[in-house]
Amino acid sequence: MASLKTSLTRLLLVLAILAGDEPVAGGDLTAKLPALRPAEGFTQTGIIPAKIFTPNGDGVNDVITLYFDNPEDSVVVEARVYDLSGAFVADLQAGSVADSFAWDGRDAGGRAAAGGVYIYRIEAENKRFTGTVVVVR
Amino acid sequence: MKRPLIVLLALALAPVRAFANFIDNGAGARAMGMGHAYTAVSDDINAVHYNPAGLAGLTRPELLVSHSKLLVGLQDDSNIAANYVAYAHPVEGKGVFTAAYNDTTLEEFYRERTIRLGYAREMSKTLRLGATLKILNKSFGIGGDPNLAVDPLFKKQGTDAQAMSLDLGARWQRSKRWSFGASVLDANSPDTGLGQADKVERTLRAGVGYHPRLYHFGFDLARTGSDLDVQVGGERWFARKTFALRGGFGLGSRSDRDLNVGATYRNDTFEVNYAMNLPLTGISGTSGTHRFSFIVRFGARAGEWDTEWDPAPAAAAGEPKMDPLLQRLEREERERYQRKAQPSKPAKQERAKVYTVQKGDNLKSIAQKLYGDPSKWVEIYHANQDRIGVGGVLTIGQVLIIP
Repeated sequence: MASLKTSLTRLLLVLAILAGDEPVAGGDLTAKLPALRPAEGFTQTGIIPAKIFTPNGDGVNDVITLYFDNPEDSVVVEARVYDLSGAFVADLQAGSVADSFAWDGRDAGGRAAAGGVYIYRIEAENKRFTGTVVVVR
Repeated sequence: MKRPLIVLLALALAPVRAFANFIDNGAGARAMGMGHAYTAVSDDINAVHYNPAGLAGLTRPELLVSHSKLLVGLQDDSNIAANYVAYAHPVEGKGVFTAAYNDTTLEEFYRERTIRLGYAREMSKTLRLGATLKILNKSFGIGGDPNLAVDPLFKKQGTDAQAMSLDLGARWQRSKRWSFGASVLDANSPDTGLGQADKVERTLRAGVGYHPRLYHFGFDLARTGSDLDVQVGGERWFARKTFALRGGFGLGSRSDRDLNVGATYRNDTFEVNYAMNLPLTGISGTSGTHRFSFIVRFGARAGEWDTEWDPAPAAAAGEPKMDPLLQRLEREERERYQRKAQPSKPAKQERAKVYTVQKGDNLKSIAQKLYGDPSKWVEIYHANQDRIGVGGVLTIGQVLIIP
């Protein structure tokens, strides 16, 4: 019965919030909301060059680099490139600065990947960052 | 028949670099919903993408328009979209001519375009051949980043690459229920590189289609470079073949797997299709690829059983007990079919009482012709029950008793 009462109280509280009333008695609910955090933990901050790169060994845009902010030094559990069918292509390598990941346009076997669209997937703190990059041959 | 098979096999086993250039995502939603297992099924305009030979079976012009969103839900808000427009035009006695355009774009960054011009023809009652010439074009949008504007590659080669390519296909209708297909896509492995070689790998497809009443099943093997994909799919039609549900599964040699589902509503003229594809490996977590496609069929439907749905309403009442009979009918029909339907001539004095089936006939159209009332097909059916296939299937040259 106690749990039913709690549920009912919660339901009323939710209804009150939906109706636009400030929760008065439910101090515990507002307390659960996190205080304004200075950083959001692991986040993506950039990609250079913008989506497209030309891995041809001429020293210009041969590698594409994904930049991240990692204030808590969290472990990155996955940093990989897939093709559009979902097949694994390569692991991203550590970039030239901390918390960056780079791809040189080669597959896991060291062969040049064909031109076209690929998907990167990076995961840390249970957050996934997915997006596209384009290889130009 | 054996030598081409050996050649195909040798081509299939030749080692080449992995990964597909040019995004191969199919044409319409029907084929996609069947997991792209379409090489042998290929009985409508979707064939343009899988097996050009399938187009030879079209009896009236078909127009396909398709729009897709690929891998919806990527966190960087990438918008990968694909469009496909295809038109096939059968010319009586001359074959089927096809023109198609499709593009796949990643916003302003990247675009692939393909123009197709094709021709397909029925070589015999059972064998169809087809070929498609393709112009491939890809272009890159480098305006968004000064790093790319100074890249010597783009400075020297521009931002466009072009190549010509060729698709070839064959389809064999062994019987009403079994079809086989084989195609070689991008047979010449065209080079679409801007500065370096960047070949579109040749794809070899081989498929088996099984088509019992109300169902179509496809089983395909597709080899691109050193990749091998197994694709399996099926569909079932409901409500007098106006509505269909389908599903498919793909398994790739780089341990990629994907699941497909789809549905269709169609009538005599329009067909509306939806399909979705969900990668189960690697990039799982997106909400997949979604496609809508529309097909318009022009002109009156001809009653050929192997090109479109069964021409007459199914004689459902007689069906359950008919299994042995059905088998006999099937067998007889296949034999007759393989003898290329020798027409048995009706005796002269009986002319008023019999009717020789002609191309384009079905029970309803015969009833209309002879009685002026299409609903009298039932009487013709009952008078000829022992020689008409289940579903009212007629053979050209077949003689019917007219009660």
